[in-house]
This record gives sequence, C-alpha cells and structure tokens, in this order.
Amino acid sequence: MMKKLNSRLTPVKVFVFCCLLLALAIAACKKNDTEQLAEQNELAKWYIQNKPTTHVSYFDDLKPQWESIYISEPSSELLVYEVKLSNPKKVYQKLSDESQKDRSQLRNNIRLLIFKDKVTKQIISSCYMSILNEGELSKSLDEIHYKRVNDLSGKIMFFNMLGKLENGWGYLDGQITMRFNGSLEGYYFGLKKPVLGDLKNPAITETGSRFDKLMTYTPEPCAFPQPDWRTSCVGVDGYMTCTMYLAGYFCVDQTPNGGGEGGYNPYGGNPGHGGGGSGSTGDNSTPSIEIKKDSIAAKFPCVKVMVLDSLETIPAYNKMVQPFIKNGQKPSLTWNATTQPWSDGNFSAGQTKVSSDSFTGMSSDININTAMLQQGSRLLIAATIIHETYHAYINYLFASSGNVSLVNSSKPNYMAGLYQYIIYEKTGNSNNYTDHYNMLTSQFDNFTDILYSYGKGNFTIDDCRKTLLFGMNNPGPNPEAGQQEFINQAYNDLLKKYGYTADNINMFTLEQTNAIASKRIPNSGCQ
Amino acid sequence: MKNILKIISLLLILFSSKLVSAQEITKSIYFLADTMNIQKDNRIFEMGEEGVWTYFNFYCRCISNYDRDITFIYFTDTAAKNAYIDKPPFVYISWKELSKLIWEEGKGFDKKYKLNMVEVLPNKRFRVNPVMLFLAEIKY
Repeated sequence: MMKKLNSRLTPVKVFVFCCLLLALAIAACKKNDTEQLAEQNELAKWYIQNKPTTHVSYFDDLKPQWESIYISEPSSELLVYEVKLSNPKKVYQKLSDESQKDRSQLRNNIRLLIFKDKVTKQIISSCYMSILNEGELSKSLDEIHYKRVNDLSGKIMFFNMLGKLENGWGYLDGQITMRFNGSLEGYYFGLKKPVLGDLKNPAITETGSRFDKLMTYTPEPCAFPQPDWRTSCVGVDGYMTCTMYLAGYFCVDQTPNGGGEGGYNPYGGNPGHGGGGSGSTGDNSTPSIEIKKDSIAAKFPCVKVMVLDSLETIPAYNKMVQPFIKNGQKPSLTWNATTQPWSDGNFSAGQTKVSSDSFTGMSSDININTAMLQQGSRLLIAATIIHETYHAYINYLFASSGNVSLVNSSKPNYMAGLYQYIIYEKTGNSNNYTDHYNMLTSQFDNFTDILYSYGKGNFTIDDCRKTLLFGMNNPGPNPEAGQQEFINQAYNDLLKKYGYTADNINMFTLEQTNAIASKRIPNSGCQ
Repeated sequence: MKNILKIISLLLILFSSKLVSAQEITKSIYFLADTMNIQKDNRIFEMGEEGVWTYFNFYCRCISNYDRDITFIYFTDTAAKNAYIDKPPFVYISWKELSKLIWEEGKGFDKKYKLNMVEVLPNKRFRVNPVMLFLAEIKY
C-alpha cells in the first residue's frame, strides 16, 4: 500500500520539486540580474561624473560597454572592474617598432579600469589599460586581464583619464622584464637584467651643439644608469599624439623596490596605500633635507603640511623637487613668505630667485606672497607653488645640463616648435618669458594633472586649469620685441581650447585671490 | 586657413628677426681673467664651476633693474682645453672699459660684443674661451 502510494506520488513530487527548483533559479537569476544592473549603473554614473568634461584625448572617443565587465580582486582591499570599450574611430596605441598600421591595431586592445575600495565600497579612480602584443600576432588579447597576463610578450600601459601615460610594464613570456613611467624613471629588472657590455646608449651622448645635450635625471642608487627613451603614441590613423617617456634606466646593480608589479596605482601618488606600480622612485617619503621649509613653516605651518608636503607625494611634482632632495649639498630649494603686491589689480603670488650662493641657477629661493597665503584659496596657493617650483626646476636644469628646452614640438603642437625656435635663438637661457612659454605650450596639462591629483576630488579640472592660468601671460619686466605677442598667443590658444573667456578668468581669479574662509588654508590644527 | 596665415606671419617675424640679427655686428673683445696674481681680497670677480658651466661672477651690479652681480659663463665640457704657452697677443680691455660697455648695453651686451675670457693658468699658461652673459632674473 505504502509502496503503491509512493509510486503514485513520485511523479508529482518530482514535478513539484522541479517547479520549486525552477522558481528558485528564476528568483536567484532575477536577483543576480538586479544586482548586476545596479552595479553597472553605479559604475556608469561614476564614470559620467568623473570623466573629463571636454574632449582632452583620443581615449574620449572610446565608449564603455557596461554590459561587458570583467571583475577581478587583485588584493583584499581592491576590486577592479575591467570594462570593454567600443571603438568606432579605431583608436589604438601604436607599437614603437611596428610600421604596419593593420598589425598595430591587431596587436592592441584598450580597456577602461575602474577601481573600488572593497572596505569602504567607494570607487577610487579609473584609468585606461592598453595591452600591446609584441609576440605572436595570432595571440588573442581577450584572455589578458589586469595583473593576469598569461604568457604575454609585450607591454601593458596605463593612461590616466586625461590620456596621459602614468606607468606601464614590459613582459616577456608573461614575466615582467621592465617597468616604465610617464613622468619618472624606471629600471630594467628581473630576467632581462642587462650586463655591463649592454650599457651603450647614444641617447646620452652630445649631438653637436651644447643645447642638444639630452636632459637626463640620474637616480642616485644606481652606479651605471643609462636612460632609455621611448615614444608612446595613441590616436587614429594619421593623427597620433605622441609623448616621450623614459622607459627605464639600464642598471646593472640595482633593482626597484616595492610590490604591486604589473599594476596601476589607483591612489595616485599616495604611497601609504601601496598598490605599487606607479613608477615612483620610492623616495617620496624621504625627508626633504635640502628643501628648506623652516622659514615658511614658522609663519604658515599648514601651508607646509597641506600643500608643500602633500604635493611632494605626487610623482610628477616630485620629479621637479627631486634634484633638491640631497643631504647637505647644493642644489637647494628654500621656501619663504614675503611681502609682495596684493591689491589694486596688482597681484604677485610668488617669485623665484636664484639663491645668493648660486651663480648659474642650481639653487633657488621661492618667496610666496604673505597676503596670498592669508587671503588666497588653497587652490591658488597650490597652483602658485607648482608654478614657482617649475621656475626653480628650470633654473636647475639650465645649471645642471644647459638644456631648458622642454617644449614638445611634435604634433599637434607644431606652433610650439616654431615659438621654441624663436625663443631660444634669441635668448639662449631661461627667463620669465621662456619659462611661461614652456608652461603654456607644453607643461600645462602636466600641471593640471598635478593640481587635480593634489585636490583629491575637491577641485574640478576646470577650476585647476583656470587657476593655473594665473600670471602665465606675464613675460616679465621689459620684454623684448614680440615676446608679449607670442605669450598672448599661447595664452589665448589655451583659453580657446578650453572655452574660457578673459572675463571668466578674471572673475574666477578674483574669487581665488580673496577666498571665503572655508577655501583658505587654516593657520593651525593641521599637524 | 587661419593656421596657415598664422604660420606665414610667424615665419615672416622669424626671418625678419634673423635678418636683423645677421645685420648686427658683434665685436670680439678680450678680458684677462687673472686669479693667479691677484690676492683673493682684491679680485673683482669670482670664478668657479657650477653644474655644466664655468662662471665668472663680477662683483658689480652694473645692469639697471637687475639687483644682482653679473655673471658670464661658458660650457665647461666643450670649452677649449688647449692652453697658450705665452700671453696671447690680443688687445685686452680693462675692467673700467668693460664695466662701461656692460652698463651701456645692459641685457643686450651679447648682441653687440663677443666677450672672450683669457684665463691665467699656472706656469704662465693661458686659456681662451668665449663667454655669454647670464642674468639670473627674478621669475614670477
């Protein structure tokens, strides 16, 4: 009986059980779909809010495909969303040694990375990851992901959202062979460490005139460093934007410190978060022994802590002060607060002088206007410090290498090349005019990156740009014929590029020079 | 079209400036930079090396609106290594005359004069190098 009953009920039981399972599966799928959709929306929303407001690089032509996301967890703190990008304009990164464009396109794949803090569940930052296959052409790049390169022979390069190269890694059969950085040096290391006999590089030899001598920065720990300059080009056919970067130093006795190999540092220059791979020298936390801040710190302790010290953690800024971080030696960089004009339309935010014990500009004194430190916004103070540091850096470059030519004369800045020719033919060394010209034509984006990173989301890109324009059209006292016109041209080119008017800038400047209390730097309580 | 006009106007400026500079005649002058026979306290200049430059820092604030001693420099690496055995037979300019020329020409000194420093070396040797005026201007 029982048996019979059981045999009758079994198909019903199975049917009900199957229905239950199906219902559960559908519910689970629905829940999963809902969660996934919410996650996609969160990423898309964040991306729209944080991407550049204007078209600043070829990367802006790539559109995220939010339905196609690969998620990885490279550490216990970090979640990385890898978003595929539609590429209707066929933007690609060109291999430096690949002449056939079809091959270059096939060998390149660009994706958007979005980094999220697993603990706080906050999105931290994003960047573009460009994978370059320099091995077999047939190799599929779809299987290569952030920090999972399989047996890639080639490069993975990371660009920030402004399209600027931040750092990258070179691989041979899946092993890291070198790291490189957009603004600082890197080292060849690991399996491909070269031998002393390989250390021949014509890049550091002079090429005739003294001004052709290549500017090089030599890190102290390496006994035999030899620089290796490369070009990174991103764009569409016929319109590539190329930047020179220092791929690395051949170094026989030194390997780099730090972990995070193969990665990108989503926290910018903040070494406290680890992550590695930013390409910073690892010296960012070194006390600034020859950057003398005592004088300014005595009157404005928070300026030291909140601006000077903080800026030094950003690699691109750190590069400018690196020459001055040497124990007890020249060169030195001395910060002071002094009285300068700050009213009636005459605003002097700061000035840079060659130190009295220096003859060709190796060491500089930077005097920041006391009134600005009291009344100006934190944004303006930081912008001024970046601006004046660059003057000191150019002074140092002239003294140490004789080369102050930093203008990138490659496309599309051909005008800069012409101006550059005119400037240096006429002057020979740097002055207020040449420095400002360099800033306007070749350093402006770099400065913007620094200031924006420093702001950690508190300043918009537009505000950073407007603030940095402060004083850049000043050719200095007694300009030579044509200098004011040239500098106005360069200045107006930038206004036009970003859609600003002179009135916009004036209004904005007024707000910054006499900022409301919440935008100023406090006098205490920042230690 | 705008860009083409811009380039043309720049080239015109460039070539006209070249033409002007080509017409300017620079006169070679020679100054005996003697640190061997003059006591340190009585010297009018200080000589040394900083970075890639060899400098001659004259204790004279003799360019208007430039509140600093004036400096002449040459690039150390490509400087003449050969030395004259005897004092080269140039017509030497005195400090009195040189400071007057610097005062008159100011920042444009190099456009009018090609100053050559004749350094006195040990054992009555002499070395000649052209120098350029370096003004460490205040930057804003």
